[in-house]
Formats: sequence, C-alpha cells, structure tokens
Amino acid sequence: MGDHMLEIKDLRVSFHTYAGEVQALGGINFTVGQSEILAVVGESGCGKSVTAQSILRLHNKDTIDYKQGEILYKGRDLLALSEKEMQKIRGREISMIFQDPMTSLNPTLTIGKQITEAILKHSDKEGNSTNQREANKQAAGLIRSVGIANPDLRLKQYPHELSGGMRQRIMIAIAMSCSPEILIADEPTTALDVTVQAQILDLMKALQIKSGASIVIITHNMGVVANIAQKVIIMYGGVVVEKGTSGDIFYRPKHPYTWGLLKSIFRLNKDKNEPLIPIDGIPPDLLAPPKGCPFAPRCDYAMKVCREQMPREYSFGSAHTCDCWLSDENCPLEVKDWRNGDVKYKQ
Amino acid sequence: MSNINSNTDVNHSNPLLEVRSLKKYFKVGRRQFLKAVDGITFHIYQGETFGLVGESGCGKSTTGRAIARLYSLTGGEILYDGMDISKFKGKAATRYAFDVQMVFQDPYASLDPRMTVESIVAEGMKIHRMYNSEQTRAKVYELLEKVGLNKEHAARFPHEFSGGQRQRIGIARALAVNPKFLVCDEPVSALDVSIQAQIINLLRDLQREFNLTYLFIAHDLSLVKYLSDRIGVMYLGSLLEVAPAEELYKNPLHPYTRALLSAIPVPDPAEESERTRILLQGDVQSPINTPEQCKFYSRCKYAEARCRERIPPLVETTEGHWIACALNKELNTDAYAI
Ligand SMILES: Nc1ncnc2c1ncn2[C@@H]1O[C@H](COP(=O)(O)OP(=O)(O)OP(=O)(O)O)[C@@H](O)[C@H]1O
Ligand SMILES: Nc1ncnc2c1ncn2[C@@H]1O[C@H](COP(=O)(O)OP(=O)(O)OP(=O)(O)O)[C@@H](O)[C@H]1O
Ligand code: SF4
Ligand SMILES: [Mg+2]
Ligand SMILES: [Mg+2]
Repeated sequence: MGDHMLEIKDLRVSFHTYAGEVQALGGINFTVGQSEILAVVGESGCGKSVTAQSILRLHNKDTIDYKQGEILYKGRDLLALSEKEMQKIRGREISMIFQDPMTSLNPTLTIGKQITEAILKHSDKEGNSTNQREANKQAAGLIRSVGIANPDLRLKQYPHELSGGMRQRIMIAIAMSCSPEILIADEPTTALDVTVQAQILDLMKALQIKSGASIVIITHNMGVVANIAQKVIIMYGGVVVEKGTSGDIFYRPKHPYTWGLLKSIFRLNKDKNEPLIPIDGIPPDLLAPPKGCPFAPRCDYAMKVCREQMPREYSFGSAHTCDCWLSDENCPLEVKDWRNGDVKYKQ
Repeated sequence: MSNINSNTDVNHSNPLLEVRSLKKYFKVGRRQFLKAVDGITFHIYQGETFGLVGESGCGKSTTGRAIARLYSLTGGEILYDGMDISKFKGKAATRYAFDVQMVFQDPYASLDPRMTVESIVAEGMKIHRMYNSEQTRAKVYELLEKVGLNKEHAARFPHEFSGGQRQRIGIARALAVNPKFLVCDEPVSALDVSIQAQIINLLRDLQREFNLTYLFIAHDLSLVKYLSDRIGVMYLGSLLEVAPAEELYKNPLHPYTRALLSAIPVPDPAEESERTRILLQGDVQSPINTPEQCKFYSRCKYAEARCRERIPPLVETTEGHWIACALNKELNTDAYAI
C-alpha cells in the first residue's frame, strides 16, 4: 500500500460549539492514489468540507478537535506536524480551490499581483530567485494555460472585474502555479454555468494528465462525478457509507443511500412519466448523531440492528466497500432490485 | 403530448400570460444601462409549466419579477388574461396580487426569522382580510399539511427548519391566497438532490390539485426539462429559443442551446466518456450597453456579418419551435448539423 499519496485512517473530528459537540466526522477511511481523481459526494452538512479542510488543517485550533485517526501524506501523518511544517505543505505540495473564488482572492489586489506573489513565494522556498519580470511572464503563461484570452489585460484587473468562471480559472491557475502533488477542489464548479463548468473540468483533467497530480474533487453533482472521477466516496452524516470505482458506484451500488441518490437525480433522458423518487426525511443532526447507522431514519430497508449498531465496512472486490447491514451475510433481507425496491426475506 | 401534466388541462387556445417585447434596463452609471432583459416575447398557456433556463445573470429573475409587477418596465408589455398588467389599479391590482405568487430560491432569506410559521403563512390572508381568525388558523393548518408539514410546526420559527422544510413553508405562504399562477424562481437550487426531488414532486401534485400555471425558472436544464411542457432558453437578456420540452432536447437548433445541452454532464460514466462537447469560445459578455446585435455573437462559432445587423427576432421555424438567430431556418440544414 506504499503508493498512496494520501491515506485517511479512522479520522474523527468534532467541533466544540455553544450548542454542544458537533461530531462532524465519525471515523472515516479512504485513500487517494498517485495521479488519481477522487470525488467526494454527499448531502449538505455531511462533512465533505471538514474532510478537505482537515487535510490542510485549516480550522481554527480553538474549536476543532481531532479526536482520533491519521492523515497520511506520502506516509507522514499531517496531524502530527508542527504549524511551521504544515505551512510548507500548504499551497506547495497540497493546494486547495474553494467553492467561492471571491472569498479566497484578495479584492484589493490585481490578479497579476496575486499570482506573481504566489510564484515569488514559492520560488523563494525552492531556493531559486525568480525576479518580478520572470514572475510576470510566468503569470501570463499560467493565465493563458487556463484558457483565458488577453492575459496582459486580465493581470491588471481586480477580481470583481472578472466573471465567476474566470475567477475560478484564476484560482486554479494559482493553485497549479507551484505544481502541487495533490489538488483539493471544494465544489469548484457549483457556482458556475454548465458551459463554463465543462471548461473547468476539462482543465482539471488536462492538469492531472500533464503534471500527474492527484485530485480530490468535492461535489454534489453526480454528472460531474461521472465526468471526471476514477474513484468515488459517498458520505452521509459524517461517515463514508460507500466507496469504489466510478463504475462500482454508478453501476453496482450497494448502499441504500447511494441507491436513493441515483434514483432522485434528474436526467436529461429521463421519461417524464417515470416518477422522481425522493429520499424522504432529512439528514441527521450531528449534535446528536443516531447511535446506529446514520441513514437508518430515512432508509427503506432499516432493520432493528440498523438503529442500534453502526454497520461495519463490508468489501466487494478490491476497492469497493459499503457500510450497511444489508451487506452482512446474516442479513435476513435480500434486495433483488433496488431500482424497484424489490426486497425479499431469505428463507 | 405525453407528459407529467397530463392531469391538468393545458388550454392551448388561451394564453394566461403574454410577454411582449419586454425590456428591463437598469441604470448603472451616467450613460450606462445594464440590459437585464432586452426585448423578449413568449406566452404561457393556462395550466401549463413554462420553463425558463439560462446562465447566471441572463435575466430570468428579472423576467419573473417583472411579471410579478415588482418592476416598472423599460419597454414592452405583459398581458394577463388579455389585459395589460401595468394598467391594473384598485381591485384589479389586488386581484392580480392574489393570482400571481412567487416562490423564491433562497428559503433562508425569503422568510422573516422573527415570525412564526403560522404568521408567515397567514400574512397574505390577513393583509387581504380573507377570513376571520379562526378560519385563518384552520386554513394555515390545512396548507401546512398540503405541503408535507403539520400543525405542530405552526408555532415554530424558520431557523428551526431544514432548507427543504423552509421551502415548503414558502410554498404554503404562496398558496395561502388561492393563486392561479406561480412564478417559481429557482425553488430547489439551494437544496440537496434528494430534497429537490421532494419539492418537485410537491409542486407537481399541487399543480394538478389546484390547476395552477407555472413559470419555472432554473439554470438546471435536466430539471426544467423534467418539469416543463415548454422551455425558453435565455442568454444575456435575449430569449434565443422556445420549444416543447422534448423537442428542445431532441432537436435543439440555436447554437447556444446546442452548446448548453452538450455541456450538461450526465450521471453515467460510460455515456460521459463518449460524449462530444461543443466548447464555447470566449467569455460571457458584459450586459452593460450591449450592442444591438445577436447577444451570442462573441461566442458563436457560426457568427457572421448578418448577426450584427440587429438583435435577431424570435421566429417560428417548425410548429411551436421558435429561434432567435440570424441564420434562422438554415440551422436546420446539413451545413449546420451538429
Ligand atoms: N467551524 C465549525 N464549527 C462548528 N460546526 C461546524 C464547523 N464547520 C463545520 N461544522 C459542522 O460540521 C458538519 C459538516 O460540515 P461540512 O462543512 O463539512 O459540510 P459539507 O458536507 O461540506 O456540506 P456542504 O455541501 O453544505 O458544503 C456540519 O454539520 C457543520 O454544521
Ligand atoms: N436592481 C438591479 N440593479 C442593477 N442590475 C441588476 C438589478 N437586478 C438585476 N440586475 C442585473 O441584471 C442582470 C440579470 O439579472 P437576473 O437576476 O435577472 O439574472 P438571472 O438570470 O436570474 O441570474 P441567476 O441565475 O444568477 O439568478 C444581471 O446582470 C444582474 O446583475
Ligand atoms: S445499515 Fe440499515 S439503515 Fe443503514 S443503510 Fe443499511 S439497511 Fe439502511
Ligand atoms: Mg462544503
Ligand atoms: Mg435569478
């Protein structure tokens, strides 16, 4: 297992708030291979951003509590590093793109200034001395590489003078400016239009091929997942409920939440007479997560054991796992066809 | 047409709403006008769902808000039941304010945090003095049940609810005054997929039960296609194509619609890897002082001189299928096949 770029092991994270302890991550496991694109999917509040931000340790130390687990980057536990060591990794080895590029770009500085600053900072650390002139040239090249015409004009502009899609592409340019080993993108296309989204996804794929970087992309759009991901993890209520290759998740899903997700999405080719099947109910409150399976209150298949005990992880083949009691060999239920909710009792 | 609305009667001889050459400009500088909506024409039949899609900032909400009489118009007119809504006064204006209700995108921002659910839902009924207080309360309970909540929720405040539940409250509020026409402005965009489906099913059921007419605004074309009888595609203040939902999806004509359809990622990895995308060149133009030419000009691969002569008007190419493109019917020929 030495070839993992990133390995998250039994990570438990809580926030201490006035309302109580928010158990944001309840022990998650996953790996990201070298130059692999992994998608993290799940409903609002299920812990996707907390996972991403934990990798870079971006949270306020006073509220966050890393209760358990390891985040191994090339075998080193990031949670054990000092803040100073962490700073060397941030932006240089692991870069992050945020959902809203406006909040991460400085509104008072020109685009050019922000990119050249990033370039200069990193060349300093590398020990080479890039001068301002060279940095400008590199910046223009970077902007062009993310498909923006007229780079010299754009470098002189301020963030608010650019469209959302352009700002997001600039963020990608900055994130890629120091050729990171891992790029973490938290909903990079959610605020964008589909035509621009398609450009950004192509760009990320091209960068992965060209520089061999691993990419972790957080999204709730299954179309985006199908477009870009090689591996997928499905999160629900602070835990990973299923993971596998893109094919496992789309064609051989095992978890009732994944089934629900696939049944409730709108497809362009969907027949209007085919009813939409929503998942009833709402996600769990992480201030008081349920004792058993977090999906049990909304699950059509929930059994007594589901409400009492957290299911363990069951494996199907090399990379495909599912945390659900239905996968247990002693489970009395047999799901014949999840699309139609066809369930039988094993005799 | 087989579609989900087959239970409601779409009356094709009777447009409930007609939007004619609607213009709404915002003054943003001394001589600068932001042309949010720049001369769009369409109609909505009684009982149908008309979907409006397009990129962020293309003017969908402005159109919806103009219909709800929240703006004075820069040009054009809006007819409701054949009457010019800008001329409504007194009783007619009140009637219109009952008939046409809006459901908003942001269930968080559109509900007053200091009001209980009961007072939020009852507000319209009280303003219009529709019932006495007992009847009002009974009606609130009934509405809450209609939208999948219950009377126990009435005394609670918006922050105690999830996004999907808040959207249900917003829908109950809109239904309280017995409307005929709902302008749904991105009613599910802020919600999770699994919750979106709950709200869409609710809107569909309510449409059947009350024979409602919908203008459904969204940027997600798959969703709009699923819900709508006919769809209009907007770009930078112009309406570029109008067609029945199935037809638009099977036979998109306008170069922008084609690019848009090809860009929507489908939730199937095998299909996704085989699709070819029509990539758009350039970036979206600024809506400020846009020239009187096709708004898609700067990004269109077919752009030529005649596209700059004027803003191409919306014309019918085949029955019920309208496009606004200088190339017009030529788009249907092999030279412009996808
Ligand atoms: N700084 C914080 N303090 C307290 N609770 C927090 C904090 N950050 C996140 N949480 C809580 O942790 C849980 C997971 O949040 P997270 O931001 O990871 O969700 P997400 O999956 O990224 O959702 P979304 O799709 O809405 O972005 C939520 O219940 C959230 O309220
Ligand atoms: N009150 C206003 N003053 C100035 N400009 C405005 C105003 N309201 C809207 N606009 C501008 O008009 C254009 C159309 O806006 P509108 O809200 O109708 O777009 P939209 O299609 O609904 O977009 P979205 O999908 O982002 O909601 C945008 O460029 C917007 O910035
Ligand atoms: S463990 Fe039980 S409740 Fe949880 S998903 Fe599986 S069947 Fe449903
Ligand atoms: Mg998030
Ligand atoms: Mg809008």
